Amino acid sequence: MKRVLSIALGILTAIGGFVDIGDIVANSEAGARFGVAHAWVLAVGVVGICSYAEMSGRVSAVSGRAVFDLVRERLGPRVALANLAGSLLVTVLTLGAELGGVGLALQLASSVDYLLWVPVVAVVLWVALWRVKFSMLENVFGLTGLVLIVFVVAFLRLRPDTGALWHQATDPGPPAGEDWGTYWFFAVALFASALTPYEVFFFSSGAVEEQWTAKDLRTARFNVFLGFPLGGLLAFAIMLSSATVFGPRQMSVDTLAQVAMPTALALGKLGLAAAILGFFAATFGAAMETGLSTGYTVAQYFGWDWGKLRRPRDAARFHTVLIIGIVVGVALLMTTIDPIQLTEYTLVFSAVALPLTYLPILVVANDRDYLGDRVNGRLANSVGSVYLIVVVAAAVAAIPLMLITRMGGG
Amino acid sequence: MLVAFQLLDRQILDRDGRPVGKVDDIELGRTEVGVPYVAALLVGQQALGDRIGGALGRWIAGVARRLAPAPGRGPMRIGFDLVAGVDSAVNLSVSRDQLPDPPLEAWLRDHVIDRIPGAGHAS
Amino acid sequence: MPPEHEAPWRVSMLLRSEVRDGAGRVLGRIADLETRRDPQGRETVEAVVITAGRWGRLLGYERRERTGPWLLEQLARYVLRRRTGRVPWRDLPQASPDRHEGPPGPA
Repeated sequence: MKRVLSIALGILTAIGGFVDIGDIVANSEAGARFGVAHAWVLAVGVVGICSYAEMSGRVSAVSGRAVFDLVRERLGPRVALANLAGSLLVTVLTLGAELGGVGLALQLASSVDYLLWVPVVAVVLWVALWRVKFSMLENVFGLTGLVLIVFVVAFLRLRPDTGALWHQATDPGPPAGEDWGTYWFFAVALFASALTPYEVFFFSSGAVEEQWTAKDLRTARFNVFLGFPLGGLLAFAIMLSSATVFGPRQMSVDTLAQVAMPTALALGKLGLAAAILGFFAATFGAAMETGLSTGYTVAQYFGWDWGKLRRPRDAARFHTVLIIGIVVGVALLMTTIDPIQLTEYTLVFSAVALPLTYLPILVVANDRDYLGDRVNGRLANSVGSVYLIVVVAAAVAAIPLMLITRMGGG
Repeated sequence: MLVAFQLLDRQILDRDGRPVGKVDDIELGRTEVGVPYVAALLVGQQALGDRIGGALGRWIAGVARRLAPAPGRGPMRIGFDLVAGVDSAVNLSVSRDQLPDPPLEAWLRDHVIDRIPGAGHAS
Repeated sequence: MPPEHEAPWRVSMLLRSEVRDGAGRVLGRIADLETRRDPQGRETVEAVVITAGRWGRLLGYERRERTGPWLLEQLARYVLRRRTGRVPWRDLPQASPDRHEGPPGPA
């Protein structure tokens, strides 16, 4: 049982990366409009995040240093400060969106407007981060988020035309009614969401919170190679079921209720309840991940003590940043901005920040002062280098695509 | 040793592995024949702001100076003789309690964090 | 180096300052300081590492051991190879004693 539970960190990180509120809707929308023509993007994303999360986890386990330490060390204080500012912007915006997402999930369940839920959720989130043990948060939200497997079940129950789907997946391209620009916009957005920096910030800091050492490298790898593919699978399941239900009907998806429709159609009330529970756990988990990441990145830039591991009074600056992050997130939502639209913007901006985060990781994973014998082998270096190039390409393409396609509106 | 690569911007850990701060700058002394040597590590936003430079750096350093208990004293200074070893971090031979409290941390602890129930419990 | 009564100098003041050769041509900017332990246990400056390029930060590839993925090593070598140099400290004449606030520009 302990072995099962010790992969919770990987699963929770993956959930925040692959099925947070932005991804839930983006995958569903991609499925509705493009079928599974973006399946390859998810696969590429899973391999990329596995490669970099493995490196980050290894570095943190062996050296005790989390990723943002490396960013400042290798890029210098000025560039790292720019990276910090950009990352904070993205992370806090995402945190706000996740709080909204939790509110939307609760709205689905209770018919109480999501804006009324948001302050409640924010307080609960803060209390959880203040008092609840890290491992308990991982286990509860990580494992409950797996309930989103219901989308796989729903997909199978809907008796889809697998031949047509396979054809779409292997012959990627926009179907009638969509153009290549929007296709690539979605591709970049889905890729960026699989590799958002806060995933590696959270995973590496979590590794330090869990006090992993060089002896835990096997656990770290388990976490990565089980957790992230699972996360990708959940995202894919949402895309699949959306393609099956909405594709033929030529509908587009923009609310959480629509995302849940396939489960309701296939499995009735039970399916819908499972979907809502899954949404709640995944978005709350993502809120935790982004909330903690705001604290982690600022503290690791300045060298402050950080972590839930410490008594709050010994890490006062870290906890203050957490509180400020949550307050800003709530304030943002109270402007009644649509949380789903908000994540779509932050996805694009996070694509731009990717290279500055991933370059230091690749460099340090080869540094013998850090890792001794456990530096990257040829496979890790090849995959890492290829993805560094892909990430730079995505960073360069993101904003132009966003402007040309008007956020995928076409 | 390569001073900028191995010391600057590295995490400083005390004897027990607790974070003390980053090496924000390094103070140089002069030997009898005039050759510079590493005298001390400078830690804190004052040193960081001075190093970043520009309007932003001056603002950071300015805020830090206002928060400091004794203005004009300068950033926290850790003599290089207190460094036990340098690997992926700079490891000191002393405990954090023997070093001055960073002013921002102390202020936030006393005025914000300690006022919230449960501040003394780790989780 | 400053006269005794001035505030002690910091590494950040030396980094990025220009190094010129005897004819006054700019050889590069100081990117790092190489030190060695002297008999009294102090890390004294033996040489400065200079780069001609604008990226003053060394990622670590100039160290002797082969490290890093092939791609980044090639990039670093291309960017840094003809552009890094090592100048022993004793070859840098003393900066003149009259005033400077900022970087010394040892020349």
